Amino acid sequence: MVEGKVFGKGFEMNFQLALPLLEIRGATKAFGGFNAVHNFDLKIQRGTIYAIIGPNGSGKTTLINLVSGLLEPTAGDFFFKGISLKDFRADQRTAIGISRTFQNIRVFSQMSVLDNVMMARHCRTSYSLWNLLFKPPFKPLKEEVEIRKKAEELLDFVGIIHRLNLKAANLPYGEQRLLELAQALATEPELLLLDEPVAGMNPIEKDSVKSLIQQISKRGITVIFIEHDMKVVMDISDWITVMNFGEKIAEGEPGNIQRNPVVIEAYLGKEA
Amino acid sequence: MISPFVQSILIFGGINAILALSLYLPFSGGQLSLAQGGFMAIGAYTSAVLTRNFGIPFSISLIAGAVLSSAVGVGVGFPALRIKGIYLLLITLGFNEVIRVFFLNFKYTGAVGGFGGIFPLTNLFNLYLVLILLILFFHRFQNSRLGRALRAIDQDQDAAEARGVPLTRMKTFAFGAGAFIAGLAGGFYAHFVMFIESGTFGFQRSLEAMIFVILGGSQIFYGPILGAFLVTIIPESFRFLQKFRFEIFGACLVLMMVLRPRGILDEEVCQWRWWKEKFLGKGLK
Repeated sequence: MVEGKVFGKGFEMNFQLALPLLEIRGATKAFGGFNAVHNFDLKIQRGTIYAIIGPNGSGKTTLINLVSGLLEPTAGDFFFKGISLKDFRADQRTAIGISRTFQNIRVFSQMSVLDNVMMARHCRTSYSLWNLLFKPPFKPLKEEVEIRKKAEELLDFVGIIHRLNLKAANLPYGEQRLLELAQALATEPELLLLDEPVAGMNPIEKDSVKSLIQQISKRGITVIFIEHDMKVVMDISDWITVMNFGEKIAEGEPGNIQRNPVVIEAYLGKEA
Repeated sequence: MISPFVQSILIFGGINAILALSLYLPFSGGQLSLAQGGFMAIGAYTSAVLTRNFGIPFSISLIAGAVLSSAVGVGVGFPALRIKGIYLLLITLGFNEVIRVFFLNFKYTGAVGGFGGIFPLTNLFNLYLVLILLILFFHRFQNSRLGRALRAIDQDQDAAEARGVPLTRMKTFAFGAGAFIAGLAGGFYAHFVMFIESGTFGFQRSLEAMIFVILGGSQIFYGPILGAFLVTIIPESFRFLQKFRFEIFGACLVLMMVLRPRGILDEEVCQWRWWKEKFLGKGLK
């Protein structure tokens, strides 16, 4: 939503424009001759929990990689808050508020849990080498103290504060996912892209991640997530897009998607 | 007080430690460089020319040499930074040769005859002052946002970028700062041996720097320093074996790599907890 005021002679008027947080127009990504994503359109409104589902190999992860800047699109435009993302590198996209997690967890395994979250504050802090060189001894930099405070807050939020000094590689699988979530949140995103956030978790862990995602959404962060677990998808998403062979085959509210024959066909195959 | 022999070992140890740190900095960001000898050459020749031919004070010449080395490092390193691993190694190796051959043919600095008559300005005091300052710097650096970003780049470059680390800027910085430190090492070297020729800064020097880092341990900056001193001291302490002393040195190298393949020091060893557990048992924590 863009809000503003128009001033004229003797009047002023408030206006509101519904500008989507993220808009994808005609996104295409070809690997060789194979179109992983083909002519894909999407509009994401602020404050929603948005699910992208589809069979394996339908291009969901490729789509996330395109939005986060890990891959260059073959064609198509991406707009974040109305700004074209064309000239933004992956780190710059993080800096303007797009953050993500990875399907195959990619935490920094040789660093401590705390360091993992603290490093994600890189783009939200700006002290330079000179501050470091001329800092008085025996006193940590003010910004460094803030980074640490924020990191501890987030680890507490995802519930792994007790693992603070452990090496990330030594965390159990589910907690590595939570760590990655804390990392992604540490960059203060407005748009959070989660690639299979509950994959490989047990039902209890799944429930806690579900409620985490809902809390994140309440904090005003828009969430897009890819998931195969239909229960999680149906429980928390406001809107679902279904992909197959790189294209959108259906979209709608959870209830409608569940009954959509095209979707059932994509997942289960055609009835004989 | 200290015999000239011990003094020369201490000075070479200090210079090597600075050279080792110069390699460690880019290496902590995943860039293994074989051009540190070349950067050392730039620092050595520049500072030597400035003190001998222009009478400029040692401290200023030293910094000027390091700044020039760092500028060359950034200029030439910048395009090379997209490349990783073994390919970067080859590029930096080639770059080292370019610098060596340049000084081999550059008439002003004596070309093939070398550059002599340099004033003996390096002493234990100024060398170790710089080394201690560097250690203090690395101590601050490793737990700063820049140090963390470099470590993250080393482990997973794409994930680091997704977390908002500007790769090119961080890598260029690490490469340039490494070249700066190598330039300092070169300056001290030139003003200690008083005669320099291009051959001393060849591929072998860069390889030595790599041995310091890998032997000592590349996870934490104390490792390269320890490695540098060990490599300086071990061959000297077996001097009674005469020419066979390098055999012993080689054997030590092999043995250490077998016993501690990731280097002598790592993050664990540098914590009190590790020593406590080692000697007092786990129960006592």
